[in-house]
Amino acid sequence: MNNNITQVLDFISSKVNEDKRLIEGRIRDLMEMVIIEPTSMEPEGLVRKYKALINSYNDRLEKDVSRLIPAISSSKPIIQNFTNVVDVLRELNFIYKVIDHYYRLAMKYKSYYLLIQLAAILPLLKEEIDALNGSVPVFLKGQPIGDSAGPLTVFRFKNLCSDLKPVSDSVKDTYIASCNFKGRKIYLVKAEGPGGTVGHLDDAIRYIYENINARPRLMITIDAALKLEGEESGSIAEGLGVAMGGIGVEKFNIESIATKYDTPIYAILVKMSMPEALNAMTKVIDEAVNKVVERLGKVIDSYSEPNDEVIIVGVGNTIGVAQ
Amino acid sequence: MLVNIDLYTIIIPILVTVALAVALFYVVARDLRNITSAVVARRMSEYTTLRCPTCGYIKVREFRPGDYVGKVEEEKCPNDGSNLMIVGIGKETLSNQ
Repeated sequence: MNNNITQVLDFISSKVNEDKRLIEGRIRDLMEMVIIEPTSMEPEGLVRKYKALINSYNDRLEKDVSRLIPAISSSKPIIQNFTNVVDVLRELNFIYKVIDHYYRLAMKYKSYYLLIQLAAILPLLKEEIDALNGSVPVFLKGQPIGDSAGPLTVFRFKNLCSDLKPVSDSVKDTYIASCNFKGRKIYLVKAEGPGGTVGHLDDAIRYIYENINARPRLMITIDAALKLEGEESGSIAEGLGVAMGGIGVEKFNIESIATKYDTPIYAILVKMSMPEALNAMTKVIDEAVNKVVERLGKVIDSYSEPNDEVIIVGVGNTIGVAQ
Repeated sequence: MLVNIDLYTIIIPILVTVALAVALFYVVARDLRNITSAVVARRMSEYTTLRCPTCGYIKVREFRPGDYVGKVEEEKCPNDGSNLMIVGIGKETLSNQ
């Protein structure tokens, strides 16, 4: 982790001329930031509470990063990328502290069974730590990661459309556009790049239904999905339902809107390992995105008619992918 | 003084316990060795794919800091003089992760 902090400090040193120790202290403060989950004793309104918490966490982190490096506060993509880096450092710091806790506890009470349990889950931990570790330089450089497969699919699909025009920029960090594809009106939704953000896709979909009064015949979500060890990277799976990870707030909201307006949801998944999802996009995933674009065309062709409206949602972090 | 060492109640349980402890130590040590020496996919090159929006001409070059998908480059298409656009950024690896 110290190696990662050194990389981050080198990055900051190239942007600002400030005392390294001071900046390191501020980064370590951000790494210690805790998020307290809302109580679930009374589940009513829990999703709204989570959404408010996540939004305030993201806003707070972005503002803190802007204050940390005032010289880059005018460049939104760099701020967003750096916010992702701080997020990764927080996660690594948390894993380190938990492992250290169990190690010290085992030593204190001479309970080697605790260490054996730790050794048993070490392969899973190493997979996650390697993925997080490798993602720091990628986020600093602003390269697309495996998780950008969804937004990249939307970017490439728009080249097949005609009459492309942005619909609205009223939803924060989210791109909404409309275009024509084989006589269908397509609404394209993705996070607004090239900075590292996942946008507010649920708000964008609500906007399409309730502000534009669109009544889509079909909604297609495209996302990266973690593969099992036996599956091939870049393999594509199709299905029904909202393809979306995370804690489930946006997924819940999208499902609610689609259910209210009786819109079937179709999912296309690009399979990849965790290191691939969080590191620079590999050639295999890059090629898989082209295949997804082809499939997308076929799905629209098969499940909708000319003059229908269709929503395409590119789910994932749009780092390194503009619109 | 005569010490009565019973084969079934003392010696065999001790031998079984020692054997299990050695086996457990061996398995844990082997797992740790495997984990720490796991092959990590080596990075070969980071590339940027540029495409002419008019004629579809494609050019691949090394990734440069500041590149992002959707960026319109100063570089012109050799066929029709249009500005090339970045349509892909990725890395090639030796082994599948």
